[in-house]
Amino acid sequence: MTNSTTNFKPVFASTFESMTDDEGYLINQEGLSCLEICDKAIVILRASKDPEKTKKAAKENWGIDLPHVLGISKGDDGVQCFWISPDEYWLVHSQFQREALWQKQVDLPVGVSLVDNTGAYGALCFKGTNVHKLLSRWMGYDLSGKLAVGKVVSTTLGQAPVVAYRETEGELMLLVRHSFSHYVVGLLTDSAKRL
Amino acid sequence: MRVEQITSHQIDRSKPLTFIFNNKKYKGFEGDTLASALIANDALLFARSFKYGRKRGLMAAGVEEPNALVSLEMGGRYTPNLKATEIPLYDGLSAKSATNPHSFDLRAFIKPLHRFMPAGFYYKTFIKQAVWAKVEDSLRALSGFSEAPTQEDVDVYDHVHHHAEVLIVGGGAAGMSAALEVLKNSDSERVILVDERARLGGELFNEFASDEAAAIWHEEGVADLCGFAKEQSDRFTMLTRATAYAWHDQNYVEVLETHATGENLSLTNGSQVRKTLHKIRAKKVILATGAHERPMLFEANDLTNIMLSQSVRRYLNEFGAVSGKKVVVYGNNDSIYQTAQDLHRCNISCTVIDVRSAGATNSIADKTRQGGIKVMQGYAIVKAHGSDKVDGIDVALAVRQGVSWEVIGESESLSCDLLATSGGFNPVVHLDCHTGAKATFDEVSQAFLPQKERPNRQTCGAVSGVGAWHDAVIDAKNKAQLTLQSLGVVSEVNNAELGENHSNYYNVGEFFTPAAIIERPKVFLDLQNDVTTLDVALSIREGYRSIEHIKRYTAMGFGTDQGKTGNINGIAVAAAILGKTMPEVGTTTFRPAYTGVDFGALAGRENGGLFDPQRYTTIHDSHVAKGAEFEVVGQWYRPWYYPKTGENIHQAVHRECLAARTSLGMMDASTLGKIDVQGPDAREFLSRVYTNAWMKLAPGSCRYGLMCNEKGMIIDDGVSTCIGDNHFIMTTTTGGAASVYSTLEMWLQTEWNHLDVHLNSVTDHYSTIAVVGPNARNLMKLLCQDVDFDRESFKFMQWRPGIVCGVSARIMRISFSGELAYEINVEANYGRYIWDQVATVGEKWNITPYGTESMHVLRAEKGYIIVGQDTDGSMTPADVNMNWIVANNKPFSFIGQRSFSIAALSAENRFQLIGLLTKDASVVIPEGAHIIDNGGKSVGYVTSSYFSPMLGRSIAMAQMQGGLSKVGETTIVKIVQEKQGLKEIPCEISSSVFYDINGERVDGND
Amino acid sequence: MFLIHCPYCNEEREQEEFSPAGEAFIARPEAPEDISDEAWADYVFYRTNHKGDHWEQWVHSNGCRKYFMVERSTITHEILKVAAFGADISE
Repeated sequence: MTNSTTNFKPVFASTFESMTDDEGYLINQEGLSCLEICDKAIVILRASKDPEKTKKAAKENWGIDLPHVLGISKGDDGVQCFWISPDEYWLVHSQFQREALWQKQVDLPVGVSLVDNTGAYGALCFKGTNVHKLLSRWMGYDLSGKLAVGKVVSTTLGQAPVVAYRETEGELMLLVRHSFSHYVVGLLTDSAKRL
Repeated sequence: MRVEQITSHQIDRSKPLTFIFNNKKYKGFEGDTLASALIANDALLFARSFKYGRKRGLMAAGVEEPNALVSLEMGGRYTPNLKATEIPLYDGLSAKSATNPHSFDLRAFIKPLHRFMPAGFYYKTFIKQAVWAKVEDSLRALSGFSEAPTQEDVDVYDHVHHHAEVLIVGGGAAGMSAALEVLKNSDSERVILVDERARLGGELFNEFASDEAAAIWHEEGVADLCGFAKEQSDRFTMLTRATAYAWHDQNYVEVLETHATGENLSLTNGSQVRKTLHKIRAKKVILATGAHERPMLFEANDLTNIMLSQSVRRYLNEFGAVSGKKVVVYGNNDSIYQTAQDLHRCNISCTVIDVRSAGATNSIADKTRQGGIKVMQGYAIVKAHGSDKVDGIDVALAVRQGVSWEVIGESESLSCDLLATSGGFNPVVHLDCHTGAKATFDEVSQAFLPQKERPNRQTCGAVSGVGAWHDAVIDAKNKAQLTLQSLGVVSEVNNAELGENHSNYYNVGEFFTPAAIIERPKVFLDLQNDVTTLDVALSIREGYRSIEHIKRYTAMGFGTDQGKTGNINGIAVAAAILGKTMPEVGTTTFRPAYTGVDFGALAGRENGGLFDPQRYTTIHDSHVAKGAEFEVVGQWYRPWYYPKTGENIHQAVHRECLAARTSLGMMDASTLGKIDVQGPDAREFLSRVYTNAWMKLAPGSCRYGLMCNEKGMIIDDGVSTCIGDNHFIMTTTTGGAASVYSTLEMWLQTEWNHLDVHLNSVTDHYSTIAVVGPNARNLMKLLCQDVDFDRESFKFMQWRPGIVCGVSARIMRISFSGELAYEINVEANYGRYIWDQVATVGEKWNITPYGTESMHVLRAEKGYIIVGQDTDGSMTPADVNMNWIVANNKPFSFIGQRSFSIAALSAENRFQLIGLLTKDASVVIPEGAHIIDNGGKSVGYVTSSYFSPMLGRSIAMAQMQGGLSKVGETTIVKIVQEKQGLKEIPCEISSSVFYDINGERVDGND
Repeated sequence: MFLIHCPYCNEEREQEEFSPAGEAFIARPEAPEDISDEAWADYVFYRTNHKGDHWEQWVHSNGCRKYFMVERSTITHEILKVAAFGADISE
């Protein structure tokens, strides 16, 4: 039976899409740009009470050596592994890799679990000489002193929980829960006006 | 008047400014403060004092000023209670005294009665409430403070976080020196230097005329610091007009910076920042805050034009202004000679009166005489004269007898038109003491110095007793070296020697508090609250001994100047009367803020739309497009109702409810908390936190759970879904999501960490769209082809995975309305798309979106509770008639279970959940209304109340004492209506289930 | 506003990232059904109100979300010790 109801074309809306310009920028001014990165997928990996199990599972399934505290390590095909807590890691990858990554779920030992949390977050990439000036209006974390490349921290931006990390020199990444997206945009664009 | 220009002057005579004060026009210069410009214009009268209405003028040049409170500008830029000394002058400035000094003043008029109005006067006179109520308004109008603003503050205030290795507070000689030493001996350490004044230099300008080296040092120092600020801007921040007003634990210092646009209206536009609140976390702090001068004590020491000696010097040397032509300089230390010499250099006649006798002082008195200035040694001022301002003084001989002073002999009179006094110096220890450190009294300096050692901080310069500028520079360098060493930047410390007598404030003599002086009337300690030495004596006579009590009894130090010039003298007077030493009396507690902070600055940008996060679901824009009105639930903005053109809330809700019950409705339920529960012990965990059973729930099924706290009280509820034996997804209420998640983690981590289960919040990962009504099944069949929706295949309280509109979904058959309903859960990025598809495909059944209001009505018709509305943290499952959900035979004690069996929780008169049906079916009882028994006592209140479209009448749920046993009886709800008075609403007590009592509607019609 | 060293993240963080979580070492009775109403009430309601050094629980709510223990002076607010949950605090 063919009718219009079988020709669905799902529309994916990124977190910040209603607030960015045509090129995906939230802010684009001298010394400061903030661009939404739309293809980040996040899967939470929770560790077994037996650390060896988790280590093995991470290595065998995704080629990941689990990172140290607040660290980022890399696995197969550019999958990144973020340390979030003693028993929580995030596998951060691109949307294209989701299917393949998720399939490994069936191989996991009891006590190691995966939870897809991609829909919860939006990602922003900050560049420019005024990035710290901007973020220091709202973040108490010592970004310039303590957030080196390869480090990830869960902290706050104003009253919103965020995850801040650096993977490359010259860039700062923020993961923001989508329900706080309008609030975060409000804070940042307001402060950016005066920079 | 102005004096001729000298190098130390910081005003720019090529830039004249015009301003208005108390409705008169004046001229000043760029670089002036409002105070210095008024001194230059001989406009000396500022205020009427708080209690006695005495005329007052400026006493100081800085933030320690007690009298010159002004209101600045008007309207949205109006600022009350600023000190004229801290307002930089700008063109077009308009200000007025906080109190009008020129008007007839009742308090001054009743002068003869003043001796009956000592400290405690208000309390003792007006302690009877009736009397106070009558006079309160008039008294408040008399008080010496500005009116409160009436308009919104239109300015922009920013907050900025900083992290520094070294923070230097104070930019005078010591602060500048410390900063330079740190900068020159480090590469990457982050350094911040702040000073409250408009320019660096502190008191250095006072030294230029007598010591050329000071001017050179200042110029070079400022140039060097500006160079660092420019070339090393990523690690050195220099802020002027920036007051460090609070120092919290672990070197967290708050600094309020006023920008040039701050007070200057002509430069401000909406986007410029008026003030910035800097929040600085520093590894090390170097305190270089200097010292405040304290005045000498004598009768009528509060007359206009009686000022602090160093302040007169500052007006003269920094601003080129002086308010008298015949000056007397009086004090107990060598600095008074410097003031006299500076005045003399500007051809102003002056006399020095030194209370210390000739034998005690050194060559400075002789040198001053040789310069042509009259010096009287060993004399004291006993009284000052004058009405509008000082015009003369009475002096007598002063001698030191053992440990105290005496005044002997007859007094002789001298005339003067400006009196500058110096009783010694008080280190500005305030910040250092904010976290509880106690300042200690030093005999040599006659001052309370900062605690010797404190972790991660150094003090230098006048604040630590090193008064002379060149010594302060060396002291600061040494302390900077110690700081660098503690940071590991240098291994060995370069220590330089200070000059002789470096810890003595100009050979300061003891506090001058003989009985002959302090037993006189009108010897003022606190000029803002009119507290005199007699008030301190009275408080001691009345039995108060602790300086904290004396302070509070007399109100000494309570004003906006916080006793900066008065408190230490007050301690000295108390010590003299009590026969104790200064350290035995001690200081009162120093607390933030050091000076006033605008509320606007404290709020920063967190006001209006940015005050609290406004959280939206990913479907939000579709709700807006549909004309939804929103309700705030926690931080979420949820659609409340969707009015069509011209509809009010009642009409919209009526239409929405009927649509859901007769055809098809849709609702965005994405805000509910969702927690992923995974692990071998998932079932046991759920069984421990919910009251009901979870061990046998099959994968593919859903179950409603009720959660209690250890007290046995309901705290949350929601439906959990069994994905697999080791995998559940819990839901919580919208408002409870964060706290429930946190509480569950607490149980898991701190009490049951042997359980092998993980909790993850997935609230934001999913969008949830509820499709509700008799046509729900029909709609789902069109949206999803890979699920069998037949009523026997997909039963109520089951779930299926499926592809809905091309998107992978979890479809749950649960219902909060009692109707046939499905909840579609998809990844949030597809939420809006699914919503729009559902709306489009559902059009053939007139699908109607509904919001929280309709949701509340629909569930109330079915008697379903809303936790937090029908419960308030004091209701047990039994109280809400839900004993059916308590499983008593679990192998472990679930949270709250033990509490169910305590006596109080089965008492007869507990508040229980019942329904109320008004006798007049059209009356909707206001929520919160109380049920009143025959004795006039409240026996309960209404928790939920609506007009039910299906039933065509009002329904309500209420908590009522013993209500469950009263079903069928009549009772009365009483409310008080505006302009109509008391209204009685008779009701029948009923079951709280009003509609579809047998639950037949949930399977739909087909 | 003070700093707390999170024992899991191994970093000092601002107080605003944490939430207080009550007195430490309150253990739930093993068999609540076997104890008296008074003993149960003591566990549910009563806490010490110590002037001086005091062990309490904190959670790194905006960080790693883990619970840990802090010994803090209720007089000076100084944090004396921080320990992961379950760690041996005797040394």
